Amino acid sequence: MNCNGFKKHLHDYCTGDLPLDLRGALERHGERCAGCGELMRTAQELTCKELTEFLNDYIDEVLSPERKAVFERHIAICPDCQAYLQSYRRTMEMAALSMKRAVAGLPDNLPPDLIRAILAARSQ
Amino acid sequence: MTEPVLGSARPTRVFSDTDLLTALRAGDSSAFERLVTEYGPRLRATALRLTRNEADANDVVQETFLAAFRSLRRFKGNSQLGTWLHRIAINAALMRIRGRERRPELDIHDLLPRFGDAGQHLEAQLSFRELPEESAAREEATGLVRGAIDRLPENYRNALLLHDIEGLEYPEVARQLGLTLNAARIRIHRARQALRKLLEPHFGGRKA
Repeated sequence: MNCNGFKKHLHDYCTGDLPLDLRGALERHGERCAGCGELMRTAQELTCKELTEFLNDYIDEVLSPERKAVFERHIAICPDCQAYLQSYRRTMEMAALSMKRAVAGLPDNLPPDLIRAILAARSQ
Repeated sequence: MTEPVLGSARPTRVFSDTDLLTALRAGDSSAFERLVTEYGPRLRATALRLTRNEADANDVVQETFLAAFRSLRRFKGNSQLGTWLHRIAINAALMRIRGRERRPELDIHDLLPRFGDAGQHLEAQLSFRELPEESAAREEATGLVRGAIDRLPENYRNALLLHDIEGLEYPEVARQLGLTLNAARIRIHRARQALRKLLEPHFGGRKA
């Protein structure tokens, strides 16, 4: 296996979907090639589950610089986590926009009856 | 921290909080009317988002102002008047929701991502498309998102609305929902994950 093949199959290797023969070839290439070996270590330093569990900390930017770097190395090589992060962020944006539009048509003033009821209740 | 999106009932005003408070504490009737007319619409919008019912929202607004009138002397001015009223309104809205009969809910665990033994995603994850630009399609899409938010289990819907929509900080979300700080953070995160799952069939595009 060469570097291109390694990069092509790394995702399936991480998800456990790579057939056994290719798995062996990929591991052997990772041992021989310094660059691909580094990619493999990156893929193994954090699982998708761990990343997903702490995704809000990443978004809130409360991770330590070291932890953040681990997250970003994983995201850079994991298409599933790239897609998850993108869709998680978009979910937040769409929720905010949709709820804003939900009340966009409301009048700028309270109904007069409601104002009167509030002020009357205060006087009692 | 997420930027407040719609929270803090803070309209454009010509009177400062200090002037208004002084007049309210002096019992000036016109000041009470000013308070209600200036802050009421935003509070009603918050109440409506949380209760999803106009009659309940109006009741919440009324309860909010009456509670505020009673507590005016205790208001220390540590926060803005609008922020203080916003918190009272959220508390009143949550009380109202809790008093309702519970409807059947989705199980949150069915809405969270699943992982294999090696911690890998079990399903290929999809990126989401943007909301459509065209007006009618956008209206339909945002309605769909609101529908999905309404399908979230109530506890998760409330956490999402309080933080991501009303702009409350984590400690205030925790206080309003009676949770620890960490539990509140987890609940908000899971609510977003669950909402993402519900939206995936509609907005999921390119496969990972």
